[in-house]
Amino acid sequence: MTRRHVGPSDPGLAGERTTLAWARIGLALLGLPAALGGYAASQGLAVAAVAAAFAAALGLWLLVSSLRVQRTQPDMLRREESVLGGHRVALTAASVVLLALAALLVVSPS
Amino acid sequence: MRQSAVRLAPVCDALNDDGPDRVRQVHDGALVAPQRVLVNSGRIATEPPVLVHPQPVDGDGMRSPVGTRRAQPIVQGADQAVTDPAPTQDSARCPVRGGQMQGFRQGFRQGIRQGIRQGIREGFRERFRERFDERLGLAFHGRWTLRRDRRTLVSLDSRDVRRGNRFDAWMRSVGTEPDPRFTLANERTFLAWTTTSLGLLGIGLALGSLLPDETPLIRGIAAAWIVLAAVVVLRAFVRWLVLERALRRGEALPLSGTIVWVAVAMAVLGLATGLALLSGT
Repeated sequence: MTRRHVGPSDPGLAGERTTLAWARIGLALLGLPAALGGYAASQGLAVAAVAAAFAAALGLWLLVSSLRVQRTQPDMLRREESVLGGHRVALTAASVVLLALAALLVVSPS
Repeated sequence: MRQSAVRLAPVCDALNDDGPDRVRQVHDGALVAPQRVLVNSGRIATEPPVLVHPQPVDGDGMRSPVGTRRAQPIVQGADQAVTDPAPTQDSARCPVRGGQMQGFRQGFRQGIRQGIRQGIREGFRERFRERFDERLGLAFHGRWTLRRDRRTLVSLDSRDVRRGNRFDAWMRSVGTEPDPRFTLANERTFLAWTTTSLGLLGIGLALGSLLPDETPLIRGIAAAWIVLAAVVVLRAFVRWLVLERALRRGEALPLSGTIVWVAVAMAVLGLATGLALLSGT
């Protein structure tokens, strides 16, 4: 696989920074839906609670996935494999949109 | 003979002074542009003959006529300097002008016919798809393009398809693999936008559900914060797609005005939130 290089390679720190950013997003997607789901359940909003629970599960998966990527990414970089994480990006965007819909259900006047 | 009636000396002088496109000839009291002038410099300057109103010509006959129409000269290669006079003053019988117009019309008709055939052959949908592909990126291809790309996924990257990452394989089907630092930086930019979106979402939730007495105005503003959060994360996803594709193709990264309108929206919503909270208390 041909790869374009622009200078001295420093893949380790860039990968680490990216993994930490994923971990932050995973924690946020774990905590915010948990709080929202608890509030929605107490208000009797079942749909919002389910959506928040789904987003929280996705956040947990992202957290675990980021830890796994941190372990395997240096080897992938040495083998010059692609580090593209498109499916994680798409799932993150979908989970945030889902969470926003649940939040709209919560804040909309009943 | 007509050739003998043409004074060639002014033509040669004009060639030396002003170039072939300024040449005039005197013929029976009228100024007539030469049909062909072969120049010593190895080029032929061809002008369509143009009839000028008959008027007295003073001196060497090089007075510039007024009210004439002249086509652009056509230059070809040649060796010697020879002048062919215009055979007639009637433009309808002019072989050069008539030939040019006829060739132009014929080429125009052939071009239209060829363009229509080509458009039908390639299909209008394919041409529109390519235009959207260039401008908007992969996110706006729609179902039709996604179906086409899915058919090619298996042959492009079977390892990713086996692992179930069809989306990654679809992304890798474009261009070549960029430097990994670029890919990771693009991911971090998306994650920074996602963090911003989650912050906006938190503000909306805090306004809409945690305040002790929410008015409809406060709930409306909270909903606006949440909608802004969803729009920001969707825009970040589209931006990530466009940038990743530009990186894989080695193109310049397209600019985006997202930061500007997000900042303006945040300022407006923040001002509205502050005013609503102050008026409520």
